[in-house]
Amino acid sequence: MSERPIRVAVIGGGCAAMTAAWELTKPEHGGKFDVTVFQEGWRLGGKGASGRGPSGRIEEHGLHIWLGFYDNAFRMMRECHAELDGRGLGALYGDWRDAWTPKNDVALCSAAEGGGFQRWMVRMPPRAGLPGDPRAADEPFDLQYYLSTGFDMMRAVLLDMQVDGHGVVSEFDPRGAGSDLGGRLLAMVRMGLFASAATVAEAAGLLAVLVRSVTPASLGNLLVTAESAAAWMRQWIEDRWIADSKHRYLWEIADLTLASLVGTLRHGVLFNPRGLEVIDDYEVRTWLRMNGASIRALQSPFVRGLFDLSMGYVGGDPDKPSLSAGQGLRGLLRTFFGYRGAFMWRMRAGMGDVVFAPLYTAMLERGAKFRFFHRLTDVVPGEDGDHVAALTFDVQARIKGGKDYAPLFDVKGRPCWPSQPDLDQLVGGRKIAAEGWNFESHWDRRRDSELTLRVGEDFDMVVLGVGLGAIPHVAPKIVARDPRWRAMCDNVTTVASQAFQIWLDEDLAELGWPGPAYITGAFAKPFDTWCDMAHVVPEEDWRSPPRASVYFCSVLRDPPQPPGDGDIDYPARRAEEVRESAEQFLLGPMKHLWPGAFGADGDFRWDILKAPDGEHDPEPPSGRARFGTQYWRANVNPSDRYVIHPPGSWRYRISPLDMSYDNLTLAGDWTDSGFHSGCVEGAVMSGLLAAHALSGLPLLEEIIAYDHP
Amino acid sequence: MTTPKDAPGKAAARARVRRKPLVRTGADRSGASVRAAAQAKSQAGAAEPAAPAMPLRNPEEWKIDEAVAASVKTAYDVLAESIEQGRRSAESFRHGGYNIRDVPVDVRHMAANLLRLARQLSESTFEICEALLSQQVPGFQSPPPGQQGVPPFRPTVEKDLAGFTSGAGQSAAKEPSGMRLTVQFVGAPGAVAHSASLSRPHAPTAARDITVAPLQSRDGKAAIKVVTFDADLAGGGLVATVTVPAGLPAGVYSGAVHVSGQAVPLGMLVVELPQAGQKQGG
Repeated sequence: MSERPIRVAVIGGGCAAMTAAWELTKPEHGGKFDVTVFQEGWRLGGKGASGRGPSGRIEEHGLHIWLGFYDNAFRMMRECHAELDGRGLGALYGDWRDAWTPKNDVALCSAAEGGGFQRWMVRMPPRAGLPGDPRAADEPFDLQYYLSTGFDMMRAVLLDMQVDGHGVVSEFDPRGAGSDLGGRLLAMVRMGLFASAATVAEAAGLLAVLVRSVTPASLGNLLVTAESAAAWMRQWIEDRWIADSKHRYLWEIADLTLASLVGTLRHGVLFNPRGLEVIDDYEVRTWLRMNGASIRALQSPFVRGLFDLSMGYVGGDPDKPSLSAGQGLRGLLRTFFGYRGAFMWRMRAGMGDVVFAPLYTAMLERGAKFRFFHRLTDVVPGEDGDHVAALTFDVQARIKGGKDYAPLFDVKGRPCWPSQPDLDQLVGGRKIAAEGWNFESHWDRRRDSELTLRVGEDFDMVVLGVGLGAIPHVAPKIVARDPRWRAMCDNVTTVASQAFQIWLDEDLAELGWPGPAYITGAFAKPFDTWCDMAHVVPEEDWRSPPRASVYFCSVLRDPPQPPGDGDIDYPARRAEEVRESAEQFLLGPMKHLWPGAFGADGDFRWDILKAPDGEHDPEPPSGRARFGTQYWRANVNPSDRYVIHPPGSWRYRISPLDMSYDNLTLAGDWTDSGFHSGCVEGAVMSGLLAAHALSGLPLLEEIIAYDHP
Repeated sequence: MTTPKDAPGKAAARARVRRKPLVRTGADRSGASVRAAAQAKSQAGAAEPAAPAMPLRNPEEWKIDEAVAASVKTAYDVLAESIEQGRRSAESFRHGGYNIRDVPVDVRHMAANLLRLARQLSESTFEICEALLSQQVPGFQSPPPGQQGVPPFRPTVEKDLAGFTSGAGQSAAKEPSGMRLTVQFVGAPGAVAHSASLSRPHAPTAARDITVAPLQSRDGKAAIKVVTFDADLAGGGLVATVTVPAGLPAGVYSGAVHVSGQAVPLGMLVVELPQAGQKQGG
């Protein structure tokens, strides 16, 4: 081992890159790695970056909810908070349990027969443990465990779900039923409700037992029993559907679950060393259909919600849903059956504030260096083609006095990222302000200077942790010469996304949406996913706080021809489209969910939108122009594009463990991370693999779910 | 700009730090590593500190009636025992305690136990369990990827935006007695349907009970015989899937839609196949 530390250049500041930096700077390495993070613009976070705008309001890239199975991500953040506490900085960000709060309510929307939308609400049962806890030794996450736990979960969901506020199982008239348990049960059975739900649930319970007992020898029998149960249940519910559509959800859940089981068995997934990857060349809806799911179930809000949450629409086109069966199923299994504590965990404030600020502070304490305003322009391979010889950057701005840029500022006592850079720290800050430089725009290439770092002189190893969409722009030489990288860029697909946030002077109950706060998916396009975020308002800095804030997000359709590199106005044009869509959305589909937001004239009451303090004195604009005081954005930068996982794309992903370049590793949710989905957990897993590739740590067995099917 | 002093890689070749070879470069999805880790942990007796349990739901939060909750708990207890038995069996098998020929018997035994207990909850469960246990047919094949497709999600927003853009904020009018019919085709690019609705059946009816007479060409010389119906969740009504055999001549095909137990047809299904190479709108 060399005496001097190994200098690692970490490119990018998103979840994957930060995880790699976090791991490499851990005290157990004893200072072996000297990490420098290079970040374009003024803030860390990548697609998870957030900023504080006027009135300290939180302005996100999109809607970020941590799911209860994000074990690796939670483990890192719990370590981070513990370490800050150990350094006497615990009060700065508080305990991790203050930063995340459990959330078990989910709502999905489906089109109602008579127009409008039907709400499907379910409270997922809390489960033992907390995300990031060590996994128990008797909890092997093989497919048998997943599937059998899945059936147990299905029973709980069936018994607790509500449709338009009515629980089917619990909906009965107690009058005349008597007060004794027997009488009450009898009343329910007479209505046929409890019996029907219990029947499906008990069938699921039986299948759970059977699955737990399955061996290769009994696979055939299990398949037959699963198909038999599917056929029976299909008939049972189909017979009643036209007469009683309220029970559709029973069928849809049972239908999809059983189709998954049948498919899992039919394709030999259960005992295949490749796990769910063996069905990754199928599109998930096609695969479910092949294995018995009805067209109706495939159109259900459960499936729509899966696609909406994973933004699985090629080119952002709602008519092109695409998600591979293997990853689709893996995502569902982990989401529904792998969570601990709560189904979801909401962040107290913005993702930047809750995730990247603590990580930045802790890593700074460890001695990591951060070079903001550095945009990578090329990764230059050596002549032998087996390593990175140089890195070239655009230095977007220099810091006054040669100091390090101080990126955080204080909002109500907590260090936060601003939505705009602090130009006072920059050389030529006034000029930059006057000319309106956009440091985060791919199309704004204005810069102060260029920089070249050379291997052996300035760095030893590289973690390339930018977004996939940026790879052709930051590593053009490697993409040009390496067919695998080119194939990766061509076949691992990304989509643009859009988001808007509104702050309201009335809470959602007043607007007609029943509490508690839900994350809602499968809603109308274009903004199919939204969430009540009123809980973050206390972290903002309003003179008179709004009663609610709501975040909306979805994919954004790509133009027929991609914009040229010189099209500097492109982001602004797309953002204007988002504004128009957002206003139309509030005027249209939201009428069904928030009837109270509309006046007697049928128009949206724009005056309930809360404008930032002091920005529009004496009065904010009225009417539709009031929307201009809210926040919206088009995530069209190549690095901001969200990775999706169409069928067959798995084979083009490159692992951070790949040895093609002996001083380079990749990090990002777009790599072969073990969990091929655009999400925090996939990114963190990739960052852990990148750290392993350079240092041997963490052990692969310690990366939760990396080896799971 | 800092310009490279010489060709990249040459100067640094001697001193370069290289990544060490890795034991493996990909995931092991067979479950072997997970099982090995679990086994090692249990053998070492190194029980991790117990995870702090999340508090159970406040009793006031229960949405299920207390009686149901109690009965469900009973069911869970019953299942938990069965599950535990299943786990023990699986573990025994894993450790070689079972002969493979015994396993199906064991599964049957467990299911029979469960059957007896589940019967208390629902007579219907009895039927399911018996069906499950009586089936014994292995052997399945699946088509290769890309051979089949399903239609994209049907739009949910059209009605809303249509109402908005007309300035009235109104939803599309709903047919009082009709049932929307969506027609999709397999094997006939460019085919169009000329039927958009059917009458509702007089009695509650499953989609599988709805049939259509073979769709005949006008001259009666050709027919489309395979049409299946599904209920349409997103749009309401029915989805008819028309499978068009190869080589069928272009033209209009029609047939009456029937429902079992009802003499009067629900309406006519009329479709049009384009000339070869011609793609129609719609």
